[in-house]
Amino acid sequence: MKKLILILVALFALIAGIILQRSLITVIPPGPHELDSAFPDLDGKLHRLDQWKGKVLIVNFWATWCSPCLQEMPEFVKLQQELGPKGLQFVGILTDDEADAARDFLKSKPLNYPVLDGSIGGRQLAQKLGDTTGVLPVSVVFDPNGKRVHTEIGVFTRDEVMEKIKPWIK
Amino acid sequence: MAFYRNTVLIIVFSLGLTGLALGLGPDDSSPPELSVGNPLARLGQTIKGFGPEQDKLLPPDQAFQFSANVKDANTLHVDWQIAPGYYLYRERFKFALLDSPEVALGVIDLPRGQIKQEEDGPKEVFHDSASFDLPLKRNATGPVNIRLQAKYQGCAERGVCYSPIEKTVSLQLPATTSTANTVLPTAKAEPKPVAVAEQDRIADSLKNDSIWLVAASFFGFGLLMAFSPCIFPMIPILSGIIVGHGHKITTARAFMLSLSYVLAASLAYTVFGVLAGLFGSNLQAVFQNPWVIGSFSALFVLLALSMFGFYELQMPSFIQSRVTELSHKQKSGTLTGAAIMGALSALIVGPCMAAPLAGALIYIGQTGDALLGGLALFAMGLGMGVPLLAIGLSAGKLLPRAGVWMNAVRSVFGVGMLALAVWLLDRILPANVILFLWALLLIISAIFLNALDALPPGASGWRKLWKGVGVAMLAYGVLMLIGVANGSGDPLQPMRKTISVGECAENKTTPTTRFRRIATVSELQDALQTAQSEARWAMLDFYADWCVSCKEMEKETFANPQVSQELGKMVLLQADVTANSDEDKALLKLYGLYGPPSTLFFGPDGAERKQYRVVGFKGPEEFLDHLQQAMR
Repeated sequence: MKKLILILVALFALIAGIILQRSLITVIPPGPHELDSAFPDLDGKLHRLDQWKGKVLIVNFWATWCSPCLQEMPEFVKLQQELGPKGLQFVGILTDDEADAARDFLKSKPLNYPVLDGSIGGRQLAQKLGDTTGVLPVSVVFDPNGKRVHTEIGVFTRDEVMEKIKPWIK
Repeated sequence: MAFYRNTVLIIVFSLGLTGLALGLGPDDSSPPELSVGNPLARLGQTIKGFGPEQDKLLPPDQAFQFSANVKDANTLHVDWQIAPGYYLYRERFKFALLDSPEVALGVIDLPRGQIKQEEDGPKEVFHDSASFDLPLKRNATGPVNIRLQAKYQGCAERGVCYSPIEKTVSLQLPATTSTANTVLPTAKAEPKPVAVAEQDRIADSLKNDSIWLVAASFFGFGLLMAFSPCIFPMIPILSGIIVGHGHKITTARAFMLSLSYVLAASLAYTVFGVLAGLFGSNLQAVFQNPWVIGSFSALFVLLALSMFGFYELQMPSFIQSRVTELSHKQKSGTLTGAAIMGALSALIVGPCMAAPLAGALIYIGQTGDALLGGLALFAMGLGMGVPLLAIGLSAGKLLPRAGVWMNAVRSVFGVGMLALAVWLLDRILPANVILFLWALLLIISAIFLNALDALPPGASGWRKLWKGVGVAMLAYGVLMLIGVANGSGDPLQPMRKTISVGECAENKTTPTTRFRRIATVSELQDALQTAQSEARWAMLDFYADWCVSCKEMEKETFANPQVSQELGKMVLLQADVTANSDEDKALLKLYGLYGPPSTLFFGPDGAERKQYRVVGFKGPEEFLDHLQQAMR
């Protein structure tokens, strides 16, 4: 009987360990509605990402400390200006707790597209959209139906953007 | 056997912790490979100028391999091995010591890095490796455990940057000869993150408010145990020591001998308590898993059966006889001898009391507090020793007489064990099932107290008392059964119906706080947006059926008329994370929470007031205070 108890206890412990391990490694699965989320802008007003359905949407995850992000942004500003009327929309999402730093940054270098505060949930969304390593910059292209067509990890150059949006915007 | 058993307990704890470690490992760094499915497969083509074998981005922990160690009593050393093609920023290293009041960080002398021209100006960076010392300022000289939090951030040359990485390592500092005033001037040590403060407060209040209460109850627990047959092996040993001392022994001497015997036994239990406290920390997380809870309550049922005499738990006889032999050699009557015998006796008696002892240890393990554990079990040992001290004082004249009553005490323990099992199951089984179990326990115990047997003529007062207790238990058990049939789930008020959605129109006496249930992240965001557009405050409460404090919050705090009135002004949202589904996890993860109970507040601007998060239970007055502060 004593032995039986010991064996039982050991077994319980093993099972508990395995179950615990399994339950902790679940990653949020990419759902069918990838644009089904919302973030506040720097003034605190919430914006749903699916409000830009009907346009080719490029969601750009960035942070002020990310030098490559700052490198690609001037090109985005130009593209937004040129192709915005044709239905291209950039949206910047700040990852981490960056809202204050971004406010300062944007004073000197304003952007012509919305910047949202992703300090809550921004990183998770980037991960869900394919940024499995947790790096920046990440740009995700959605077609006018809101379907994800491309995830660019690293600097997204003008030529590459043009290439990816070609089916809808020339 | 007691030792064996406790080793097993420790194995249980450590396996659980291993599971935790395994589980956490991959979690903070996300999956390592990029080659999985969909757009990621095309990643190779999207990153420019690199051969196919270089296409994979290293996971952050491989790109930057961090280690920290203790250089000497006043210095830590941190080191990063940086993969080729990756670099760390000098200005983005940040360090903090968590919950270490006796130690603070001194001024860090960071080595100079290489200058790198970046988009926003020149930056100092480290390639290949970064390695430097962290000086410490210490207020106390003794050895101490510290937790170092290191934050760092870096990029890959190919043009991607990693999010800031945060690592926490536990280190053990040796004793030092110099304290703060001799070492380095003040540092700008990182302030503790505000979010932690709340959790700290919980731990503190557990320590301060209830530690004496816990110790007192364990003392009583020990006293009760002393009246079980378990105490018998101790009596001949102790009287052997006292009587063996010789012909003339003063009462004072006899008392001193028994005292040192009892103190030593208590200290042996203290060790168990400290171990349980140490290994049991973090166990609370494990205790949210239905399988773990189920296993432990099964264990309690097994232990209860041994209390009812279905089988005996005992130390193997060869050890028992060895100890008895030793006791015969210890007849010199010295205090040390008595102390040695005390510690050994704790081992002999241990297995007989394994059941209640294991119960106590598991309880301590749950609190995860070594100090509390040690103190509680020391108190328990003292409680057990009280009758022995009486024996010592009376020099062996006052021996308890064996009787059936001793088995009764054991049975009480058995019932207690079963109650613990039900209490544990409360977190995973529906409330009315639990109520049913309580009813069963009460009614069956009542029958054993002869609640339904006629009193024989001329029955003793005791017999009448027990029958009275039995009838009361029976009646309450029956009420509980009625409660079950009525759909209630509250063992304290079995006849009151639980507040369920929509059904209780006549429920006017208790002003209830109505929450809107939130199931997904987007639902939450919608709700918050609505609240924001109405410029109202919002409160988000995380709840789960298995979370005892959540239920207490519902019943005591949220249902309180004043709180309810105050909450009426807010948009009330509740996320029920009982199922722990992927959506539930996403909600918790969104706010970096581990589990319920957690209550978050959002201002009319839609932003969370992070510093006013409530983690854990808060009573109505305290909650009201908090609420008023938050909304100020």
